[in-house]
Amino acid sequence: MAAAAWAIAIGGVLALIVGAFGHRDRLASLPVDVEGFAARHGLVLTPRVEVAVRRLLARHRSWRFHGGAGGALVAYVISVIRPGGFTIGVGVGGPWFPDVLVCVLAGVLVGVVAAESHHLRPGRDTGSGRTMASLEVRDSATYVEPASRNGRLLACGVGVVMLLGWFADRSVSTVVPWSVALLFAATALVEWQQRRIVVRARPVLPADLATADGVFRQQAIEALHHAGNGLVCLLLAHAITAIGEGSDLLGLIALALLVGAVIEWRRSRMWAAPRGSVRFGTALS
Amino acid sequence: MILQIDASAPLPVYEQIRAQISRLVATGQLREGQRLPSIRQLALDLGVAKATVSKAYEQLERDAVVRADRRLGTVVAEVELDPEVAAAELAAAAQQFAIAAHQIGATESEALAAVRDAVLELKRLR
Repeated sequence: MAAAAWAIAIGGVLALIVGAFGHRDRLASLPVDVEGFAARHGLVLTPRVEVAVRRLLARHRSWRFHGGAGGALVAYVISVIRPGGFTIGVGVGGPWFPDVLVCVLAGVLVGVVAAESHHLRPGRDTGSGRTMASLEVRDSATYVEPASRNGRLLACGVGVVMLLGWFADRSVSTVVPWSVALLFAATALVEWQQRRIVVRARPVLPADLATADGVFRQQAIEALHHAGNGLVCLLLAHAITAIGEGSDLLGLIALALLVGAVIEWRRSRMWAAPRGSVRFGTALS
Repeated sequence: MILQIDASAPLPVYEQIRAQISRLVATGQLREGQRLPSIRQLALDLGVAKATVSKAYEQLERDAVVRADRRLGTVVAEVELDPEVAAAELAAAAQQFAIAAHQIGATESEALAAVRDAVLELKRLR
């Protein structure tokens, strides 16, 4: 009964939040965000670049917000289907993972993926029927440091060890295999989407837009990595908490991973400029 | 470096890709060891099937213009540069353009202005 009351209360709060903050105007890119983004990445804000940056930021904000809200809704629905499994915190989720934080971060990751799932048309000149393409090579190394994915791969290695440990001793909570399974799924999703962003069609563009396109791809991949890392940290925290109930050391590690998840989630917001460091207007020259 | 294809041209698309890359290599625009885009990337950018680009790359490999490198993908092979190739290619292209301009009825200054505009437009693009 208490769980059902919680579920209804949180569902109501969620509906209010989505209604209040999910409005299109609230998710629109502010000029200060656009200028900050351009200044940080050395983009010259020509009118067409400004439009492109505004669309990029608005698209990411909107998809992330709705992804996160969708994740919370999934947690809510699961809590209704399976009363008693709805929790906020680390290490107390059941095998269905109706944990709000996990569901919200997973939703954010799906939102970041969805925000970059649009397809650009190749540079077809409708007048002549000709298509142009650059012979410039684009690969993952063009946009991201290889080191940025090593942390996630390491987490997968830790996940494999945990999984083997769980198979050896099934008395440990089923949170472990579920966390590891979601960890693998999140890593695979990030890798898959990263490849898609890298090879996504790039029409032959004027120089300012071509530079912006490179920055957009890089930022999209970075946002993807941070969102993925945030979820991976949280899932590892879940699994470690489930394994080390009563252990202070493992508890501290889980807490550190939880803090890491929050930091990574914040870093995945590509519009969030370090306000003090941006000199507004410099990119408008 | 820009590649252009014309889907309505009588020459097959893979042959257009092959010919242009061959020309870029022969004239030294693409140098030995330089990487070419992956088949998937070029196919998506040009809006053609992957098999089309793959066929062009296969032919280039058969002609020893490019080679497949396990780590780097497709790279330009060691090719002996012929200094006369570029001049001959330019003369042939100019002759083709001059004929088209004449058939259209363009004056000499109009034709030269069109060339200048096209060169400027190409410079603007990346």
